[in-house]
Amino acid sequence: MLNEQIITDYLMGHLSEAERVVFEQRLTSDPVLRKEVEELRRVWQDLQNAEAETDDEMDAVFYRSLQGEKMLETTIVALKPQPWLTYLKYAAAVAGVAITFWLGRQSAPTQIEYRTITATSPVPKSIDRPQSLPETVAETVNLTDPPKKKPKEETISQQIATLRREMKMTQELVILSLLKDQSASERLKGLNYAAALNNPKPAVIQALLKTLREDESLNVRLSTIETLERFKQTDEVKKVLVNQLTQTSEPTEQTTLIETLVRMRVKESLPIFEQLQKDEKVDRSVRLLAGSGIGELAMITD
Amino acid sequence: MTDEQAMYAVSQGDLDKAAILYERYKKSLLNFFLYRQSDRENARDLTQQVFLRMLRYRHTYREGASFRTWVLEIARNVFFDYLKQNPTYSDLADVPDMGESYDETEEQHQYLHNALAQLPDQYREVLLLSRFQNMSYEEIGQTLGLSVANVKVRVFRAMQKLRDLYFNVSSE
Repeated sequence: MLNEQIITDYLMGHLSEAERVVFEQRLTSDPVLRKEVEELRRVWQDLQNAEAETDDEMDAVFYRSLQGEKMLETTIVALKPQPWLTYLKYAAAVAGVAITFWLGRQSAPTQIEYRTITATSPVPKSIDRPQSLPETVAETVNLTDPPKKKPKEETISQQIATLRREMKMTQELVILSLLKDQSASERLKGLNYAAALNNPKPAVIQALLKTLREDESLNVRLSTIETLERFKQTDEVKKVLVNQLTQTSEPTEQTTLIETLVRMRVKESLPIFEQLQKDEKVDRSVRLLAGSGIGELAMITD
Repeated sequence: MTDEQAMYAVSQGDLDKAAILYERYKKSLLNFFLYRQSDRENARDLTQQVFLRMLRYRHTYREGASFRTWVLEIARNVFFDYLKQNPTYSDLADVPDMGESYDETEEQHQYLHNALAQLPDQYREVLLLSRFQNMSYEEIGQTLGLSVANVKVRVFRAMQKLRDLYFNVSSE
């Protein structure tokens, strides 16, 4: 330990008992050091004595503020309107619940309706399968009222398709909104939602590519690369990934991009891999990975 | 109850526990501001702002995080905001107003303050954190982005410099 650190520890009382004894022995035998330490100790103590006291007025202001905050906590906070974005975030979840509920409503009444018809009609009793009530019901309905069922099923499936489309649109809106959020954690949330999409709209892909190019958070960019890999690997996506590899100097991002491009078999990335492999300023592990990537891509293309 | 337990309770809505933290930290924060600018009224306002922000942003406190480090981060931000709004701020040109409790040590106090005023800001800050905030080396390191060894060296050099200035000023 340096002399400076030991003296600081000594003045602050941070030396162990053994260290303190040794240091004080040094002080007795070294008058120059002793003078230095004594002067510093005096300054340290004077500094402590120079501490100002608080006053009642200051206390009064604080306790008034505290009372105000407590009132806010119990009243206004509970009534504060939620911002538009909060509604949007939960809209997808609400739509999902609504679909489930609606599907349940659409299937259950059908059965009840048919049973009613069976009860009022004597015809089913003549059929020789009395033990199986559901089948009897089904057959009875088919016999008594067959034309009604088909149009109804068509309407239901149309409505389900419409609801699914609307839900997907809502999800995409939520994702686009979250990707523009100032908070990196919100943008990561948007990426998680995006990863769950099947065949997202071009607007979502464009937003993801923009995020990869421009986002300042490394974690967000890494998550964007993973999300993009899940979707249809268009030439544009490949081009942006390759371009990003030329732009970034973050070893973690370079590693992720190289691995992704190898998995996606993007042979256009070979020249970039070669550049990275030769560049001595690049992290050693990245250079090694680029070398192995060149080998893998060469095997694939052959 | 530790500072961290009290702050966690505040973050969960038990605002009465904020009074415990106020009583523990009001003096050290007042001094923190008083030695970074000279006006007592300003120092008092800035101290109030720290506690107000502590209440307003209580939800951002993470359970288990050092309260002292957290509140000092708020204090530093409050002071930076003050500097932005007061571009004509003249550093420590004047002797601070220490309030009514101040007594016969005024002259000595003035010497010390003059010496502190001449210290480079990085030295003054490390002394204020260790002396008035009673922060550990680890906490100071965390606040200023320094290693523990660097904090010790900086404290030592700051004290050496302060001593030179202090004895020089008081002997004039």
